[in-house]
Amino acid sequence: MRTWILPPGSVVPVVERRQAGALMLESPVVTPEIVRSVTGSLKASRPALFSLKTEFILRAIEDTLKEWSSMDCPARREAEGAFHAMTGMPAVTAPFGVPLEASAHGAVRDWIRAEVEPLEALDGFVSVPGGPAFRLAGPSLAVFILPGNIPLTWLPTFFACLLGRSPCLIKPGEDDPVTASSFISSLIRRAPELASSVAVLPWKGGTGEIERVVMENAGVVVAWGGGDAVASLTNRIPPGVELLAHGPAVAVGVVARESMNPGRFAQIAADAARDALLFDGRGCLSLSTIFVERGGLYETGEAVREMAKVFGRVAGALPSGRPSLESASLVQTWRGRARARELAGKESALSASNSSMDWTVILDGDIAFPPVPLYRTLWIHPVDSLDEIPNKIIGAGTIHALAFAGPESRRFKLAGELVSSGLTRVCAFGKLQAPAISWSSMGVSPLKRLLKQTAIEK
Amino acid sequence: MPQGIEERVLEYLASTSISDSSADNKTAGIREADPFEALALEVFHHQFSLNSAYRKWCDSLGVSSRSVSTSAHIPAVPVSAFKEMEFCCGSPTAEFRTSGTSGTGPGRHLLPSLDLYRASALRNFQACVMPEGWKFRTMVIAPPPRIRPASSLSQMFSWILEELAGPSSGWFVGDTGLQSEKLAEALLDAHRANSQVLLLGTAAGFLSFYDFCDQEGIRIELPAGSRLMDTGGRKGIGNPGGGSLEEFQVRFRRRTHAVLGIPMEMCINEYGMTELSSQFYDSVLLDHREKRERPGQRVKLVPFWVRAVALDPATLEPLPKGKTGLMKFVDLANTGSVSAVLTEDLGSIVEGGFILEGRPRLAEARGCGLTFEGISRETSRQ
Repeated sequence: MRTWILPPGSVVPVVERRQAGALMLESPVVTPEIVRSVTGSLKASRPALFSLKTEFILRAIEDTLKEWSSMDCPARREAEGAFHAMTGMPAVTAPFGVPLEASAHGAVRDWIRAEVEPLEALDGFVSVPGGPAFRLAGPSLAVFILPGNIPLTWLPTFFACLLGRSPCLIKPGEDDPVTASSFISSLIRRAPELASSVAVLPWKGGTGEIERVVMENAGVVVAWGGGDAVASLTNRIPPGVELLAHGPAVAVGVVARESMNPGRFAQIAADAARDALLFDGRGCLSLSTIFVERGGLYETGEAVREMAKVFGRVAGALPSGRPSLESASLVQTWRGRARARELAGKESALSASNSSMDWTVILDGDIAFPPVPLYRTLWIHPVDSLDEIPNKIIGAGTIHALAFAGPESRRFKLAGELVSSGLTRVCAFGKLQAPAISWSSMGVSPLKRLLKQTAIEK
Repeated sequence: MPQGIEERVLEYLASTSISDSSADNKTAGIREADPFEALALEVFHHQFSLNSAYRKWCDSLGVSSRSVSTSAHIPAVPVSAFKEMEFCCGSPTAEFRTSGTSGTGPGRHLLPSLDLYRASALRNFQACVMPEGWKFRTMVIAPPPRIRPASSLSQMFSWILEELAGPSSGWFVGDTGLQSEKLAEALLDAHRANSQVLLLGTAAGFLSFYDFCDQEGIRIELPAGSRLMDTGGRKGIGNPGGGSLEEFQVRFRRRTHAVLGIPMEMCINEYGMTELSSQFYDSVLLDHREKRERPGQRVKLVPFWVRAVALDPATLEPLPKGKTGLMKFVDLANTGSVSAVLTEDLGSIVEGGFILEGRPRLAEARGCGLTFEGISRETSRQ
């Protein structure tokens, strides 16, 4: 399987085949010279990119998304198969990180229209009554360092760059080496005019000279990674190059006492299980901890038993991938700790799949969060009142999103108390992993972050 | 009058030739004549009946005293459980605590008697670190029990000073911390007197002393045969220079050589934890003496009264040799508490012992994941 796509005219690399899990991957031997050649070709394509109309690019995007919306799309199947082979996660557990069907049928267009006014400002200078003529454009070259855990989660930012006429250099994630090249191949097949402006090049992360050349040529680096990776990038990014780093974050859930009843909780538990188990709990929108408020019809213990029952069932429908040694070790550590706390008479309970990492539910009355989100694990922390939650959340780390079940007035009150905490979404259980295409973990749409205005004053 | 189980284990520890055993891979299988298996099962039954916390633990796993027929099936208690429960056979006379940096309190190892800990610690230390039987001038870079009464490491160093050390030995951490000047003077004195030195302490303590030496321009060529035993890994240091535990230890040994002139084969790393009464030492010194080649990473020796196994962390089933998993030990020196302990450290069983690969990282490198900052899980010994 091919992991790379280079613009026409680039230096032809030496290609090596390597076994990655069950896959035989074809990858170029990336050298600084190749990177120089590729970035040079990409940057040289910008005038041609500027000559394309926004409608043409949007149509190419939508047509590609339509193609990929079909389960029979060969490129999609290739990507899903490769991801499964690398991670063990089937497509049902690790679906694409964007809503393909909705995006293909107007969601991307609606998003762009809502945020770019007028849309023609992407095609050239436009005049608006009472203001200067202006045009919008993205950076000279966008470099994408992709995640390996959620396929295609980078698409909205990539679309924003293409529409801003920024050539793109994409480094696929190590656990997802094929999806990027498969998708870009589909796009280029639909719109060969974009072939000079997009490259997919897998290089080994942290390779000094290669990354120096990449950074020097970038206008923006859009990266996904853990805390160490983001810190390392931040230290290496040259002055004047923008870094959009999608670092570590997590999602939490809150069940108000009004929803702690047999009629409501079963559905909440099912939705929460799906939010927690998708992507094996490794996504930035994966549900890690639920705060349940005491005082409802359901006692905390009953809620945990219900959650455990549902979790086991949902885990069967969302089969696990292969946990890393580290992930599995940490789960075992916390399973052991929870069992011991329960036996010691503390407010703690452990429910877990037998002899496997399929699922774990841990109740703990004292510890609000595990030290890191645990593999396919939901942590439940009871509180006497929702008023306790902001203090537990703020300062604990980056909480991207919060799922809420309870009265609307209480949802607004809690959200209001968390506005400065880094929280960017409050949604219903079951919706955490399905954000709108316009959502960004940074709280600012990539269009707004990337498109810069050039104005001509009278 | 029949002997109690502790006495019989003590006798076992004293009766077998440790050098033979440490060269043999005890983890690979059990010799027919080895009484370990029978003793381990006896210890399990002893703990099951006298250690109520352990019995609860076994009950929670559905394990009864009759359902355990081999030492491999003795239910292991994870070290994290020592933070929550008091595992002791009878009334404790000693209590050691982990450093408890996880934010939820320290782990506690309660023992009804120190006899087995002492016997195990001294015997194994002597075999792996000072097999010549010499009395070294011993300098300890750790606080004495007077300052850290709950530190199992300080207790062990105290026994080494009492039993195995030569004249002019002593502690070099006092009430106000590391006594670098005093230590430098003592080392220079040993150099002038051509007196071999044994240095004991944590890697963090040694690195602090090396920083002092760098600042003062001190370089000491200790007499040949001098040696150093470090423990504690990166605890208290973080991960300076990055890389794996092995890479950190290689850098540590290079620095030791640069500052003190102690060659690599005389730098012996110890792996131990408060919850285990036995320790594990690099095979490097014995290998050097016996001209044995061991390519690759350093191997930790397993004393004959311990069984080590790497478990698949997903299933907790034993892994074959060479596969990395969570390290579990059955340690007969823990007769007074819990003999089967599941650690939080990764390692793999190899010929002659095991390779320690360190603690799983808090957060994996991944697209989106959270490290709740300010919470560290480094535990081990105080």
